[in-house]
Amino acid sequence: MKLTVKKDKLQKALGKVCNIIGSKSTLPVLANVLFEAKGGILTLTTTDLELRITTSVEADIEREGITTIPAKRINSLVSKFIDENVTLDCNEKHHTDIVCGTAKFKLLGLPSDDFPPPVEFSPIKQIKFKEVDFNRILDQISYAVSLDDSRKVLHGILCSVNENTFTAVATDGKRLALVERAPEEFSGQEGDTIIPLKSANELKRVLEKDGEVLLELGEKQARFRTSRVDIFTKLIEGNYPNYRQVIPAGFTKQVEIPVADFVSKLELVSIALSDNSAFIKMSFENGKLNLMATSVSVGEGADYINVDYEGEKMDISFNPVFLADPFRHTDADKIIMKMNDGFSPVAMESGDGFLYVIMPMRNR
Amino acid sequence: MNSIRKIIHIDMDAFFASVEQRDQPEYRGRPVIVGGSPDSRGVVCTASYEARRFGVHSAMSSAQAYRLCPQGIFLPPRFQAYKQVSMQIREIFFEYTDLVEPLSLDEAYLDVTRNRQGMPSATIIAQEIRRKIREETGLTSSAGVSFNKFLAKVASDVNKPDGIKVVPPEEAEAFIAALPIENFYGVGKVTARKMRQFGIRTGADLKRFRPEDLIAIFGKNGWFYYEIAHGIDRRKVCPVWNRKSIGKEVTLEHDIDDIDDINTILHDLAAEVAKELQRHRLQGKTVTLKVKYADFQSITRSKTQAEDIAAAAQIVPLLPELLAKTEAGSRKVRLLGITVSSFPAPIAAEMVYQPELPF
Repeated sequence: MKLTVKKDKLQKALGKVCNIIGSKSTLPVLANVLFEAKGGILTLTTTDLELRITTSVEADIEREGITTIPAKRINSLVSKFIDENVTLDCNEKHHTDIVCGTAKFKLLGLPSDDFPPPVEFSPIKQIKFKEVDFNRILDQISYAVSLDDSRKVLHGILCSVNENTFTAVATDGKRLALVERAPEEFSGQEGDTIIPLKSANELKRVLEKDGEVLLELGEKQARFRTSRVDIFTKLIEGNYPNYRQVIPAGFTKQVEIPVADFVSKLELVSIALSDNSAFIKMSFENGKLNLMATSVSVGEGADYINVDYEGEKMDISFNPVFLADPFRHTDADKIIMKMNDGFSPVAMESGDGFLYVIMPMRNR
Repeated sequence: MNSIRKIIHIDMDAFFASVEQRDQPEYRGRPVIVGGSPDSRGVVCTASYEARRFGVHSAMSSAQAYRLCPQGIFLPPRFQAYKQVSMQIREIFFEYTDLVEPLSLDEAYLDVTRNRQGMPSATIIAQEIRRKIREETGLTSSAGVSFNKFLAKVASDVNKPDGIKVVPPEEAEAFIAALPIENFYGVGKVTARKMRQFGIRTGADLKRFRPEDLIAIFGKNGWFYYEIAHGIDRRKVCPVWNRKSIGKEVTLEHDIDDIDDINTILHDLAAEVAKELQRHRLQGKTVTLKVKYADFQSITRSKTQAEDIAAAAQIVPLLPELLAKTEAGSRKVRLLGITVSSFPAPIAAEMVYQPELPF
């Protein structure tokens, strides 16, 4: 394999694939990037066995071929190179000479035969979104996934299609974030798929402002394709809990919360919190939403915003992070908060298919 | 729910009675009843296992205990001796962890998820502790080992006396399902009766209820019952026990209806409560008066005010109003009590927790 490639393009391609490389892998070849030069295209692939990411760049190929090169080393090199072009020349021992301007390196690689082949699977449904739309969906909910929970099915994002509505759900058992959108295109069987959080995050990293992403979902595997990147991932198997049952059927109180105002006051008041046993007490009374923070080690803080609330005074306490998350990840000016009392689940909606359900904190 | 915790509940067996039998060998193997004397109006603090066979149990009136077990050895409590043993066993707990929450002189929770010895097995720790207690104090204890406080506490009762019960996560569901609701933490006689009305007799029955239904029936405690039935108890082991109230009460030698006598007693109680408040450096906003009438019917009357109360001079002025809401004087009373509660926020802050969504 011998080729010349633009340094900037190579750097960008490495940036897309190298993030999943772990520091301690059981298989040495997993620390390497698979380089494949063929027909004017250089293809780069990495895998951690759960997830496989491929991207390609145009290259001036003198001799077609295939090899693997240690990911961390070549990524560091290319990011520090200053000249325009990088030449890669690999011999039969998988030693690759790398030249950029006056800089010369030789990196010792591993045979490409060691690199795991992609897993074959047949998709049972295909969903197409604009990249920017799907990025938005992931941004609105993925923070609600926690890998701490012992329930493995909660370590991913539920993607469900029913009657041409695509629903994405994330929960850590204490709060739940959900988005409903109509996809650009859909074909195949309706039903549920759980995408691991890590795979969803990698997809989010490579999504761009223009273009479309095709989600090909199978039983145990899935593939996400954009014009630049191809991601294969294992899926989380098992049944996602029935999230519909935690969404309260009705509410007795409904308050419109101005997002910017609320977030700034919430961040202000939160300064009085300490790491341990932190909670924000919200108190609704006529025309006002009071925010109060108390902590044993720091002190206390309070402020309020004006809201359209009439009726009896109501106190409700929340984990400050859980409370702030939906406000920090919305484009809307206002979020509607729907409640019944101080201890039952509360819903928040931003009117664009986004729904958040959160369990208030409680006093013993 | 980040990782599975390892909680041990240690409970001394018939503690007061066992200390007496240890110190006075002639009482061993005989029914010992520590508490008020049979001709007094006192109650039983602890009955030895020999006495329990006659149906004697703690909180029973000593007079009734005597009727059930006239050959019983009735002894007044020696709190100094019990306290000393209590300190000894606490020292043993601290060899393993700082996360020790004493519930009383004779029982405590330990969180040994991380322990000084780095021992992976809570069961082995519990056995070591029980062995050391026996070697150093000559007394037996029982242990419950599980992943939360509720299960550990219930478990320590299963193989009592001198036994241990381990409830690992995979057995929790079956264990709770078979548990009579009377054994659930926080379920007293009244709640238990109410639960039976709804056909709830065991943990399995309770688990069938949706959280919103439990809330409708039991108010906000419904959530607690829901979580407990699902094996969820996130209460931490708190090394410093946060008091919620400080109170004193007295069972009178004779039932009285003289309002002056009642007032004298209440003034004394107010002084004692104030002394305790000052000792614990606490101030509360609520004063509660408890009156038990001669027919054992018990009532409480409370008043909450804006200013903090720490002195007897602040309690006494509230008493006439509270007393007027009782029938003390027109009915004979057998017990009087005063409690101060509603301590300031820092205590409450420690007690706020994040419940799960009802999946």
